Amino acid sequence: MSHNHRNSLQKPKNATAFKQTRKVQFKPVTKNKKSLELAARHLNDDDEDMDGVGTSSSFKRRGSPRPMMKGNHSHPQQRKLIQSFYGWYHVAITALNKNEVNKDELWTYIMSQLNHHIIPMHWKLDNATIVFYVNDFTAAEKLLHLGSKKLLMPDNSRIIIKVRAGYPSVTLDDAYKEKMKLVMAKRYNAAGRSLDLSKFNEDPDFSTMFCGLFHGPIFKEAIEIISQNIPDLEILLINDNKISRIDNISFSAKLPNLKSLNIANNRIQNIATLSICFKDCQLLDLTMKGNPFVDKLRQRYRNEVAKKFPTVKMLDGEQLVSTENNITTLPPAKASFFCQIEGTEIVKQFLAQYFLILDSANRAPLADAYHADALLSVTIPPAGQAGRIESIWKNNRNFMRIVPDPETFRAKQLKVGRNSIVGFLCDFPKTAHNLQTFAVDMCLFTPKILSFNVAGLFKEIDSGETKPIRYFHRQFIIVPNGSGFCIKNELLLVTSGHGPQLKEGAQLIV
Amino acid sequence: MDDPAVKKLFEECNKTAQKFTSLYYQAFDKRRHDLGTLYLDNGLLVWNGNGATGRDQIQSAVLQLPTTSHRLNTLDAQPIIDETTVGQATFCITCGGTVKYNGHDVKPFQQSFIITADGDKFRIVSDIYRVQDALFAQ
Repeated sequence: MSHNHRNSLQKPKNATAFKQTRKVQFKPVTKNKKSLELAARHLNDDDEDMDGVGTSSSFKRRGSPRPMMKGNHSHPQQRKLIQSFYGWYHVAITALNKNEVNKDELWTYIMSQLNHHIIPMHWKLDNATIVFYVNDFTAAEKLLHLGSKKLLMPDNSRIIIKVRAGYPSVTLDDAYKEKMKLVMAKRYNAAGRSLDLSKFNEDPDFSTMFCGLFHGPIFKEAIEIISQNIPDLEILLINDNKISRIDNISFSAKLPNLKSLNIANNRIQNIATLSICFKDCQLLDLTMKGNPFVDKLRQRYRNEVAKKFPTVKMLDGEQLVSTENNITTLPPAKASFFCQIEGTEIVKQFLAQYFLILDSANRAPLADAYHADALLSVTIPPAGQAGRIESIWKNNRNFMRIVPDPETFRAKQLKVGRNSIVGFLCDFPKTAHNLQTFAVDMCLFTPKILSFNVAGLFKEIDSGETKPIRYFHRQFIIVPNGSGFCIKNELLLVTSGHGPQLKEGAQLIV
Repeated sequence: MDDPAVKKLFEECNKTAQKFTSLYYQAFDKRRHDLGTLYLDNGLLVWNGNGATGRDQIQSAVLQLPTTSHRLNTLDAQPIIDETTVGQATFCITCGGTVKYNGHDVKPFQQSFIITADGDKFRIVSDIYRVQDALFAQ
């Protein structure tokens, strides 16, 4: 093997010439020792040419997702091997001044220098170059390190070692397929109609062979083998295989009975291509966590899966229920809810008294309705939604208001104790409520604490000519006090009437 | 309010109300099948006057509602400081905004919660939800 060294040593006349002369040839065209050495040195310093050096002609670089080894271009000894994503490394060992090499001799020499046991896989002798693969990072690193030294064989021939990330390109011949089939058969559970191909290439039976399912043709072959031998397969596990894409396979045609698929912990980027491959499959159980697209979709993940895999009931071991539904009917609204019927009377009495005083000229008696340490606060939606409710705007405690010091602001806006609360209520614009418009929901009724909500319409009767229709929503926390009850917490939300409320409110409240 | 412990409780209340509501509406709109987990075992949801008691009933009730999109624009909260809540932070929250139910117009809604510390999480004791004009629109 060699580069077309003569051409590579000549300065190209122009770009086109350069392109043409750079064509890699695998037959040596000269036996000139010096030019060979120079060519090799040149290549050694040039990562771009890695394809040409010591690589089998079937290896493809262009468009390959395999990461390139990045190295320091000027000092080979400073090169560091970047851990390959797939865990495989391509190694080329060249004896420089030889056209043919005794591979045993070369191999024995390398092993004597390396001090590390390696299992060379898919090895090939290409004239004076041994090409093989290892799936052991330490071995690859040691080989690279060894290659950074000046290596001379006993007969003084110089040795060049090149290491980079890369996995073998395999020929799917009958022998290879047969081996795959044997390993798959071993992993098949006939009773469960289930096939476990997880961490496939880590199977001990593949200790000297590359069979990564992330390599498209191998994956395709695996599916083909299943289709021909166990077409009634129901459960398939292909998790933890570094698979980055699956396409151009129709699983519904190949595995028509597939019900459960585990494809977790792979490198799949895109759910769309996946869903096309599994179109028309009657998948019930799907495990996909640990793929990049899952993180990318984040909270949309489960909905997307529900949409794209409509038959799936279990996703990642949990029931899959889509929040996307076709329901458009809302349950009819009810005017009241009481968690306990006994609470009804108390609430009715309370409301009648409270709003009678609130709508009266003198609100001061409301002080008796509040606990000495009672809290009251008011929220008003932004002017954009409800119009600016000027009369009480200054009391607005809305947490969503952007203020310089939120904690201080919120403390200041809170009405604490009877005086402060009654002060606020007395300042509140004069009102007219109509209990007929109220919705009452009681959610807590115990001897020690009760809570209910009241919402309804009122008219601001002293706001000049306009007398706007408003809507309030009050949350009350009530505790026993003497023979009666008093308010401990009150959260009041005031907004403008909406839609039909405006017309009805105007009719109902005089 | 000047007591440092009370001040701390108010700060926790404010922070929790914001975190809780953000989580709640995200779950309601995007992961409604998980909404039930935010309630106490015996929690209560009252949706427009329709009550559902207990996590399972609540979960199945919310799954029967159309797909939603909520936008919150008001939020307020207070701690409940009472002998019944001693040693267990309990907050009342009232908030509001707009909601779009699939097949319906965007409408204002208001909602009130009581949430309480349950181990290291806050869970919903009660949840009262009202679409503002629901009683009038029927």
